[in-house]
Amino acid sequence: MKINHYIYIKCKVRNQNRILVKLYKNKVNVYDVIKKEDEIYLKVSASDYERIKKEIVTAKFYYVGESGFYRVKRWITPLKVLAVFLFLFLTNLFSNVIVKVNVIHSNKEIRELVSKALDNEGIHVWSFKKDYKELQGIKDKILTTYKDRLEWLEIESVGMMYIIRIEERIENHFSEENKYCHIVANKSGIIDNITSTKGEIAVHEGQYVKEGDILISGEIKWNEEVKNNVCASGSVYAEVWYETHVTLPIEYIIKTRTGKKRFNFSLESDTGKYKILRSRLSTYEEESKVLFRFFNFTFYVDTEYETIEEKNEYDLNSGMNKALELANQKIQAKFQEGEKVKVQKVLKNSINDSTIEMDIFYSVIENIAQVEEYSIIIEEEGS
Amino acid sequence: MHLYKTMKNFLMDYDYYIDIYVYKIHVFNYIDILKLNDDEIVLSMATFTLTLKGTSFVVKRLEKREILIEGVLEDVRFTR
Repeated sequence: MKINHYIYIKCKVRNQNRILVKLYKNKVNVYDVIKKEDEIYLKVSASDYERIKKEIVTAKFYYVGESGFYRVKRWITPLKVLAVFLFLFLTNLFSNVIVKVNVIHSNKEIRELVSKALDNEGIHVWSFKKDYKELQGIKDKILTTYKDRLEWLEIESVGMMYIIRIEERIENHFSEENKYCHIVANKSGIIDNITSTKGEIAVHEGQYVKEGDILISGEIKWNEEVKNNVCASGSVYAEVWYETHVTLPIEYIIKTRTGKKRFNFSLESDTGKYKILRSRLSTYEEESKVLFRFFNFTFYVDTEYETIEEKNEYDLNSGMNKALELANQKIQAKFQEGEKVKVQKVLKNSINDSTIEMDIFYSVIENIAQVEEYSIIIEEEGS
Repeated sequence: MHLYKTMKNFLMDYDYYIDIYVYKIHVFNYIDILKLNDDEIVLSMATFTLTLKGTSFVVKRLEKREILIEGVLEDVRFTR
């Protein structure tokens, strides 16, 4: 696309109309005329201006300025462009530099400990800010290294400053040593396995226990007489039972990438993530990469992969398998170490117009141990 | 023949036209400027001479075949 290049010129002349006629005779197009007392301002094309300078010698023409794009082009000099980029670069650079690391805690020893740990991880004054993943890694590393001293740690980035909030781990050894507790069942079930680290085992494997029954007693007995009291500890795995209900829509969508991709940009601020350009694909999956950060804004370059959505329907067999899979996921999400499904049985399944309904019975090996404190009543002699 | 003439005129822009607006006169396809001052402009057209009389005439745009004049028009005269 060709952009017309117009120039504003001025001419000091008494008879302004005569200069216009002269320009006309020299086949110069005049696109605008402004008359001011003894001056006339003319808008002519750049090529005509060159001709005017050569061919019309009876009047003197002065360059005033340019219009539109060329006016901007003339203003934008390499030095100015460089200065703008330098400014943006320096602003971005300084906004990513930490000028203060503020560790907030009342205990000086803890403050020094965390400051030193942060320093080792590269968080100190005049260092660069870390991204979210790095900060999380550093946080986890410090918490793991000083797990006996630190309960919780948070690194907050405020402007050019890091604020570190800490929660000290307070272990009340005295109270633990002096408290007495039983391990009781938090659910009814059949005992599968007992491991006691302290206390006296009160049940045996294969025994049915109800919720609240003592599993490991804190009372150490000898010949039916309590000789000592401790805080019982250990794990008791028992077979417990659940019933779960799963509802699964018959229709499901499979997304397939077509191989077509488009690039886009997005901007993330405190209020959310926004697309800079309108997406040209109707359905797509997206992968984002950080382009750069500027103050509280993060610019991303997004790769949008076009996808085709295909609607499918489960038949009874595949639907049941899927529902079973979902139910397993649901039940296993609550599991802790050593816990597992022993038996699973479909109680009821039905297929409606739009959903598959399923009731499943689970027999699960689960740790049912729960600490329950108790106190000792000391009977006074003679009472 | 009429169609040919119409087509030719459409492509070549042979016809002249004179548009008169409030404080503005636009003349297209003039041949020459014979006189140009604040109260009288005389233009040579293909078959006649156009004389515009008025006050405060200012040429706003001047091209090879087109002229835009600002001012108060009082009299328009065609002379063969």
